[in-house]
Amino acid sequence: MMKTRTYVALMLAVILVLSVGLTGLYVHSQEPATDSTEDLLVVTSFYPIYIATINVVGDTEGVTVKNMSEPQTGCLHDYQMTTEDMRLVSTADVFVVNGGGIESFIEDVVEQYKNLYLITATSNLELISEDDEEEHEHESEKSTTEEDATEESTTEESISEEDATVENTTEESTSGESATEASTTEESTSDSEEHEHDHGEVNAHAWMSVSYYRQMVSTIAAELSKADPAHADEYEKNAAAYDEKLAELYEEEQELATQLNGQDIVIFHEAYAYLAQDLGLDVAYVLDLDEEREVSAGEVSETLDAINEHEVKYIFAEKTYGEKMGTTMEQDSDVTAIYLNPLTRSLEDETDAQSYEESDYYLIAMRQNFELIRENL
Amino acid sequence: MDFAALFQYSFMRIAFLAVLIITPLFGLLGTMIVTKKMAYFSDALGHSAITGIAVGVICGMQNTTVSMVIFAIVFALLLNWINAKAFASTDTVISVFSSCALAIGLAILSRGGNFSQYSGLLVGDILSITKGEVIALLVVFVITMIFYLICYNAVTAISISPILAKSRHIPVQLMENLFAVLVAVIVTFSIKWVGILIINALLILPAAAARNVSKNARTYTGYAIIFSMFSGIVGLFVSYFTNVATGPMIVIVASVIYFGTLLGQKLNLK
Repeated sequence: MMKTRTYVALMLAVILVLSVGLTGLYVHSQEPATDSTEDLLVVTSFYPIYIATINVVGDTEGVTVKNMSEPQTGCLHDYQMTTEDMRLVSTADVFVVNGGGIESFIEDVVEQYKNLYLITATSNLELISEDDEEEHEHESEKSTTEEDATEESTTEESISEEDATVENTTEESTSGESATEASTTEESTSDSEEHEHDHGEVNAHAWMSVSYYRQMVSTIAAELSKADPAHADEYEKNAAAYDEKLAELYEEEQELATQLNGQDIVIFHEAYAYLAQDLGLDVAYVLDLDEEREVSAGEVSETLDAINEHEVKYIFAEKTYGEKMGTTMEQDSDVTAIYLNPLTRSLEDETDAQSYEESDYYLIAMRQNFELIRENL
Repeated sequence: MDFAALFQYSFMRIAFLAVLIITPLFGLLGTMIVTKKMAYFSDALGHSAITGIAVGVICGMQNTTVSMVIFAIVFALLLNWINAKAFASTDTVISVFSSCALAIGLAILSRGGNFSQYSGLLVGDILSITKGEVIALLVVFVITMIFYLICYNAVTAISISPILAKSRHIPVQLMENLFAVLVAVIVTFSIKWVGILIINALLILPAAAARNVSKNARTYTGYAIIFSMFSGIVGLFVSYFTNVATGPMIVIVASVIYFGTLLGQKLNLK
C-alpha cells in the first residue's frame, strides 16, 4: 500500500520525465545540422519578398536568407507568428517585409527587437488604396439604379478620398520605418490587440505589378546595402542583373497590355488590382475571395450586374478560392474566368512544376500568368 | 534543447509569469466550481467571450479585453439571476443562454466574411500576452486570494445546502454573484492565450484529478493547485520546444494527470 502523497509525487515525476524525454527526442530530430552564427541573417516575411531578397543577395558570402513562414503559407492575412518564427526573427539581423499592413504582427516585433534592421519593400511605392476599390463597388451598386449624374459625383468623391488615404499611408510607412528607433507608444500596442481590419487601408499586394516589383527589388537592394555596407557592391550588381530580367518581363507585359486594349475586368482577389493596373485594365468590380471567405447572395448578383453593365469579358481569380465562383459566373454570363497565380506560394503544389531555380520563381510564375491570359484572348 | 536560451525572449518571460499567476487561480477556483457543480456555467462564460469581443468591435472600443470582461460579468450575473428564478433546470438555462450569446457573437464577427481573423481566439495565442495584462492578472490574483480566505467556508456551505447556509445567515445570493463575477473575470483574462475551446478544461481537469486522490478539503485544494501549476509549466515548455499552441499542450498534460489519478484510485491508496 502506497501513500497518496508518494503516489502523486511519483506520477508527476514520471510525467515530467516522459514529457522532457519525448520533447528532447522531438527537438533532436528536428534540429538543423548547422547554424552558423557568424553570418548576416536576413529573414523575410513571406514568399514573394523572399524571392526578391534571394535575388538581391545572390551568392554573396556570409549572408543567409531565410523565409519566416512556410512556402505554402501564402499571403499573410491574419498570420499568427509561431514561437518558431519569433525565435528566427530574434536571431535575425535584417527583417525584410512587404509592408502596407500585410504583416500585421510587425509592430510587436519592432517593439521587442529594437536592434533589428527593418526593410519595408513597398516603402517607396504609392499603394492602391482599398477605399478606392470599395468606391468602385459602390459605384456599380449605385449606377444600377441611378444614372450618370450621380456616378460622376461619386467618382469625384472617390478621387479626393483616395488622395487623402494615399497621403496618410505614405506618412505611415515612413513612420513605420523610424519606429525602430522611436519607442512605440501605447496606442500601437492596443492597436495590434484590436482585431480591426488587419490589412490596413491599402492594397498591399504590390508584387503583382512587375513595375512595382522592380521598385521593390531596388528598395531592398538599397536598404540592404545600408544595413550591410561591406557587401553593398554585390547587392547592387545582383539587383541590376535581376532588374534586366524583370525589364524583359515588363516588356512582355506591355505587349500583352496593348493586346488587351484597356478593357474592363472583374477581379476576385485584390492582388490582381496591381496586375490589372500594369496591363492597363480598368477594374470594374472587386469581389475579394480570400481564405475562408463566405460570399453572400447579394454580392454575387452585384458582381453579375457589374459584369453585364461594363461588358466585362474576363475575370482574374485565384484557383483555390475563386474557382467555384468563377464557374458560377461563367454559367450566368459571357465572361471567361482566368485563374492566375498570386505568387504567394511556391510552385511545388502545382502539376506543371518542373525543376526550376527558386530565384527564378517570379519570372516563371509571372510568365505562366501572362500565358494564361494570352490563351484566353 | 536549450533551457537557458528560453528566457532570453521577453515573450517567454511574460508567458511564464502569466502561467505562474494564472494556474494556481485555475486550481483554486476549479475546486470550487467542481464542488458547486458549475462546470457548465464556466464553459458558457468562456463562450460568451466571443460575444464580448463582438460587442467591443461594434462599439468601436480600442481594447476588446475591456468589453469582454464587462460582458462576461453581465452575462454571469444574468445567468445567476435566471437560475435563482429557476424557470427550468440549470443546465437547460445555461445552454440556452450560452448558445444564444455565442450565436450573436459569431453573427457579428463573421459579418463580411472576416471571421478568420478571430479564429486565433479558439485555440489561443501565447504571444498575445502583454505586460499590462500580467499586471492585471496579478491584481486578479490578489483579489481572488482575499475572496478565498474570507468566503471559502461560506461558498462551501452554500454548495452543500443553500437552505442550511441561509439559516446560518450567509448572504447566499451575494456570495453566488461574487463567485460568478470572479470566475468571469479570470476566464476572460486568460481566454486570449488559452483559447475558448479548452479554457474550461483548465478549470475542471486539475480539480477533477485532485478529487480522485484527496480525502479532505485541504488536500483537495492543495493537489488541485499543484496539478494545475505542474501542467501549466510543463505544457508551456513542451509547447515551446515542439512549436504547438500552448493552451492545448497544457490541457494534454492535465488530462494525463487526470488519468494517472484515476489509476491511483484503483490502486487503493492509503
